Amino acid sequence: MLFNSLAFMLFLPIVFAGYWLIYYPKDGQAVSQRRLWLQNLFVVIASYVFYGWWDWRFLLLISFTSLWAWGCSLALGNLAAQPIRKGLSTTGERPGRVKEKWIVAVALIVNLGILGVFKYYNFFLDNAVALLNAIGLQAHPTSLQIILPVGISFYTFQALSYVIDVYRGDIKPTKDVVAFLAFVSFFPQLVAGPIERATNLLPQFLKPRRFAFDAARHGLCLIAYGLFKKMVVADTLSQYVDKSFGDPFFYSSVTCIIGAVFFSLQIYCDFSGYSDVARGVARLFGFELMVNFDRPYLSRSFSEFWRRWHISLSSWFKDYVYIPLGGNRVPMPRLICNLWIVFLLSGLWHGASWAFIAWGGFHALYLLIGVLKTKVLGKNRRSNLISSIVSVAVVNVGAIFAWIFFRAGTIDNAIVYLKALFRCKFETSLMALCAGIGPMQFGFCLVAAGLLGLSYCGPRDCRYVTCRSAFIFIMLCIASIVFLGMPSGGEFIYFRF
Amino acid sequence: MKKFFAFLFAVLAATVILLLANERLNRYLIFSSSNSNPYKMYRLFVDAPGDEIPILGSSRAEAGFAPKELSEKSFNYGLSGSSMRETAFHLKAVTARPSNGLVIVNLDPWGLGNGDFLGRYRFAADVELVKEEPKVKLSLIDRIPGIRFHGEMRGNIAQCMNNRIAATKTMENGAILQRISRNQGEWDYIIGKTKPTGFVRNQETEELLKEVLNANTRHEIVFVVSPVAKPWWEKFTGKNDLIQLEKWLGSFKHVHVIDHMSLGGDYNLDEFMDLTHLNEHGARRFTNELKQRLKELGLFSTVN
Repeated sequence: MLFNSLAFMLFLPIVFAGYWLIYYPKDGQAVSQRRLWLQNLFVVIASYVFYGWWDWRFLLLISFTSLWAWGCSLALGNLAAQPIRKGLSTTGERPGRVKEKWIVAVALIVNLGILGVFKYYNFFLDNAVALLNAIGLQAHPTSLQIILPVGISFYTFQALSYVIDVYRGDIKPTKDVVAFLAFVSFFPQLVAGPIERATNLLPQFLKPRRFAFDAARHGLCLIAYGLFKKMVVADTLSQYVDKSFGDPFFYSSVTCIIGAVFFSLQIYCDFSGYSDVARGVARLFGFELMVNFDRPYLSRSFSEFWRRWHISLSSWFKDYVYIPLGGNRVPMPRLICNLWIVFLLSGLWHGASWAFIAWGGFHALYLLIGVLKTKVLGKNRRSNLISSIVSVAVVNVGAIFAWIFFRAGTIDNAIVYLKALFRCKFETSLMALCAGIGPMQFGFCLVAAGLLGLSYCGPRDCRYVTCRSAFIFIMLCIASIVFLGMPSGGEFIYFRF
Repeated sequence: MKKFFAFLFAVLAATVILLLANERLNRYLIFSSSNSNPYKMYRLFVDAPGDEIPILGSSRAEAGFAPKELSEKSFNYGLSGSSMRETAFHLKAVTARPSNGLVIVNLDPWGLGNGDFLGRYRFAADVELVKEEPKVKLSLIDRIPGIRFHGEMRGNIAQCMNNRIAATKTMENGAILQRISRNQGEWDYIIGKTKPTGFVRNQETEELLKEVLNANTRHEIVFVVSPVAKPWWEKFTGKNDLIQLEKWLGSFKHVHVIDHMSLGGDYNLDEFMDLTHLNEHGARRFTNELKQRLKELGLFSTVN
């Protein structure tokens, strides 16, 4: 079920009404555990309906992934609860720690194995065959016709982080399976994030949620803004982007540059729009999800960019991959290696293609340059307005360049696009400049990008203080959607991941 | 919660006003241009002027026939994305008109498609003829005033503006004539990417055509294969099938077939927008040639 569909517009009020009818705790009232449990069960059912709308078979996968992670965490909890009999072992670890490691390993292997089969099987197989053929061995592989379940990367990472957090002792394992299923499948963020941590979201399922007008009003602002970003900006720009990336050699370098810039805006609005709607919907139900985007194209360095772009994923990789590898506190060669590992994995997380890995590689390279620059020039340099503008421009150029690989889907397509871009053909007709969508539609693209820029004039994260300002903001977003929105913009880009 | 519902009610009420304004504005834009698809449907099914030469077909009709070259009373009903099945449905509506006269139908050389009809019938949802047609699938959302035109404002504004300023297209009695001429590099690229096209047969479309052509007694129907560029034609694998289809069509009373390509079409690439669509220059030349051919066949006098 898409957020920008009529089905969701009907689904949301029904679920909203049912949810608060089941349990609406009032101030000073004792907590009813039974009603809380029922409310969580209702969330699970609603989330499964939401997810099963694509294909009911996906439900088997998500329920298995969730239950497996829950079972492993319970086993970890039981081990941790065992009394210490013999003190520390010879390795300095408490007894049972080895078993815990085994349990975590099994959880990782099973969950990542499922992800691997559904997302990466054909990719690795194709590359293995190509490698064998290259060294003269003939292979006859069997590729599988596998449907990639929507959002599998998101909920797999969410379930995994829970097991790791339990292992680390950051959170106690919950025995409430309903609350845990609700945590993994919570429909607002199920298919495209934010990838929530158990430490943030799970406790919210274990205590009663209270309805707050200010939070709900903020939720509506986020929903309206998210839909505006998706239906007005992202879907409008996608027309131009699809044309320019579809036939790059057909157009001039100018068109290719505009196409790449538009894609950087499209993917930002598409993905951050989804996150905004997810956070807004969650707020209507009394939940607080993490902020996933914080105006990333205003970053002055790539390390700042990654603190503002897809924050839930970058912090996931930081906490569960980068820091365990040693983080920043390692010698330079190791640091370089760690950066590459994290960003190549991040690229691979996005899709089973060398183009995504290349995209991750470029960001690793940018960060490395940043680290070296800091080492040479020092950390505490003064910045003025001009240097800030230059830094923002440099970050954007680098990001846009990397996005070309992301959008192209394959290395070959990316090379074709780059060739078209760098052939320095600047003379262009009006139709070619408009990438074949016509000057009027091109004008709408510019208007959409301009409206996005205007929206930055408002308060950060749509936190309008008064009812009047929130109302005006929501109505401006709805007016844009009604008059300028696309009829059926289709899926969100990040559903593929 | 009460406060929230009051706020939500205000938002919903204002949204309803916006949607109704959107409906009104879209209607205004649709009827301020003779080129929008909903207007063409309205004219075809509701207005149904009796003294015109209708030109039916796909985008190749819309871009390839300059109606005023034929007659001031000619109107181009060509619709981008329509299949022969849909064109046959329009032909049924036109031949049901009480007047006598000439009807021109563009015949795509790749045969008889059977695609689903698109949302352009939203406006004509109340017309009995459209209701009877099983291929017109109007969803619930297509029938709700205020929502049914959602997302079409931009297209309608673009049509309306193009009609007024004609920046890259010439709008003429329903036709959208493209003012594009490509350079050799672009043509090389397009030709390099062109794959061979085959011929499509479709039983359902054939049945409907048969029914419409058999029932027709008043109109002279001319099926025209308008020009395609030579590089495309050379890769086209369905030439024999096309000839068979033309023979079959020609066997009906009051039906004529003019195949420009089989007659040895000699159009240059600079008269095309792409390999299967003429540009304005090509369209004007072609329509004039067609007019001459119709005069030779003695068909043109049926109206003028």
